[in-house]
Formats: sequence, C-alpha cells, structure tokens
Amino acid sequence: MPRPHQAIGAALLLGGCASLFPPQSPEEFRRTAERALLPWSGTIEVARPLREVAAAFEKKAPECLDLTATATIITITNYQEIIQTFVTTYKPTVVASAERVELRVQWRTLGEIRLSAPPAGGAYRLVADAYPLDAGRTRLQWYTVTAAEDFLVLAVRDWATGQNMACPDFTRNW
Amino acid sequence: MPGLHQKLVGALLALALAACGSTQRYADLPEKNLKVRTAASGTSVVMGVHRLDAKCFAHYEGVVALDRPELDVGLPPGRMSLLVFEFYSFGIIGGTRSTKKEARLLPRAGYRYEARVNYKDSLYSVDIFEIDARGAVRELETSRAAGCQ
Repeated sequence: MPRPHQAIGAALLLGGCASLFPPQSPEEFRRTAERALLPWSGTIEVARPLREVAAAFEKKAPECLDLTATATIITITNYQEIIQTFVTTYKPTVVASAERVELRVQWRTLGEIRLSAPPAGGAYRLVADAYPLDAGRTRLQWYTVTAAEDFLVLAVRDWATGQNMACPDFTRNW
Repeated sequence: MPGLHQKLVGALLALALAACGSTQRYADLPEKNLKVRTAASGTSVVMGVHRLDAKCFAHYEGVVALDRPELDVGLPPGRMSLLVFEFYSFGIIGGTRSTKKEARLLPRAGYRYEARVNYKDSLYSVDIFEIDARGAVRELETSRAAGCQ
C-alpha cells in the first residue's frame, strides 16, 4: 500500500505529464481547464445581446491581442546580474457560429523548448465562449491557464459587458 | 513646492523621455486644438507626435509628457498626425517596460479634439473624440492602418 507522500508524488508526476502534452484544440483546452485541480474557468451573465458581445470581440481582438510583447526580467545576485528577455507572440481568433461566438487566444514564446509540439499558432492561452440566453442576454464562459486572477480574462469580460474597452498590457503580465 | 509624489512622477517621466531615445519636446502651436485627459495609475505616460506623410511614413516631431490630468496641445489642422502614447513602468526587478498605442489624427479647422488616456490595473485605453463648433461629439477611428492604403 503506497504511503501518502508516495501517492502525492505520483499525483504530481501525473499532473506534470499532463502539462507535457499541450491541448491541441480549443475543445481539448476546455477539458483541460475544467479538469484542473483548481478550476481554470468561470462564467458570467451579460445584459447584452450576443451580436453586441460578438462585435466587441471582433473589434478588440485584432486591436489588442494580435501582437508581439517583450518582457525583461532582471535578477540581481551577489556576483552577477542575469537579464532574461521573453519575446511572446499572441494570436487571437474569433469564430462565430449559430450557437456561440468563440474568442481564442494562442501564444508562443521565442526559444521555448517543448517536449511535444503545440498546435499551429501556439499553445492556447484563453478560450472565451459567448452563448445567447435570450434576445438581450448572453452567457460568457471562459477557460484559461491559471486559477488565479487573470488580467486577460478581466479584459475580455469587460469587453463582453461593455464596461471597459481597454487593452491588456502584455509587457507587465504574460 | 512640489510634493514627493510629483517629484517621483517627474523623475520617472525624465527616465521615460530618456528611454524614448529622444528628449526633443514637441514644438507646440499657439492655437490649442487637442485636449489630452490622462488618468493613469502605476505608470508614466508620454505622447510622441509624428507627421504622417503620403506614404504613411512617420516623421518624429517631439514628445509631450502627460504629467497632468489635463493638457492642451496644438496640432496643425489639415495635416495627418500620428500620436504615439507610451505607458512606462519601472521596477527594481524587471527594469523599464513600455506599451505603445498609436492614434492617427487629421485635425480639421474649426474643430476641437479630445484624447482620453487611461491606464489602470494593467489595462490601457486611448480614445479620441472630435467636437464641432456646436459641441457635438463623435468618437474617431484612429488606427494607423485605416488611413494607409
């Protein structure tokens, strides 16, 4: 019978293995986010029709999410300064169908080493789905890569509600 | 006498201007047609002014430090300008970082313009409005690509 620390170790190993194989499609990404120990997803109801939410995604995604951001991390140790620069390219896609409007955000960082290939366009960073509830209301469901507060989710949620059409600053977060 | 906060903002802006690669101030026009309203927390903001030529190439004219909630600037009417808003942050860990937002503007004679510049919680926006002589306001499409065919 395994001891508790062995069981925890095995669980961590298996969890680690899962992250070695990045989701290859939005559907896989949704499932991964839902299965996470702490959920990487959330939902809100928006008092706007689906067409307005879709229009906000169509306008803001190319304006705010189609970019390459550079972030520099400087670590000062006792004997040297280490400067690391991360160049990350983001790619948004908006897909509209009869039943929902999807906003997908993919990302890839220059020079990153992956044991298995990410999907074309980069690994999924965020998937946000907007479903019509009735003529004037929409349900927004998102899937992301963290259980913590995500600045990208905050921005997309604001676009959906129409409260704030600001762009996220990728030089401070990624 | 400036307070500590103002001194700090001044120092950060000086650093930001130096980081721009140029500290050339924009040679303002006496007739002010653009009001810039800035509400930014945790960042310093500067506005680079460029002339856009017929081929949509930008020619740098100078920079304006947006260090006050409201600032009046004079842009030449009838000439395409490119305004580059740059949000700077500074940290002991991470050094200097900046995010840019461009806005193309063709000021018309007899009209006033207002730029609303916001930065809060890592979200930023720049919106530009045209105001006619009667006070009617309309938001402008300012993407550079829209004016460059």
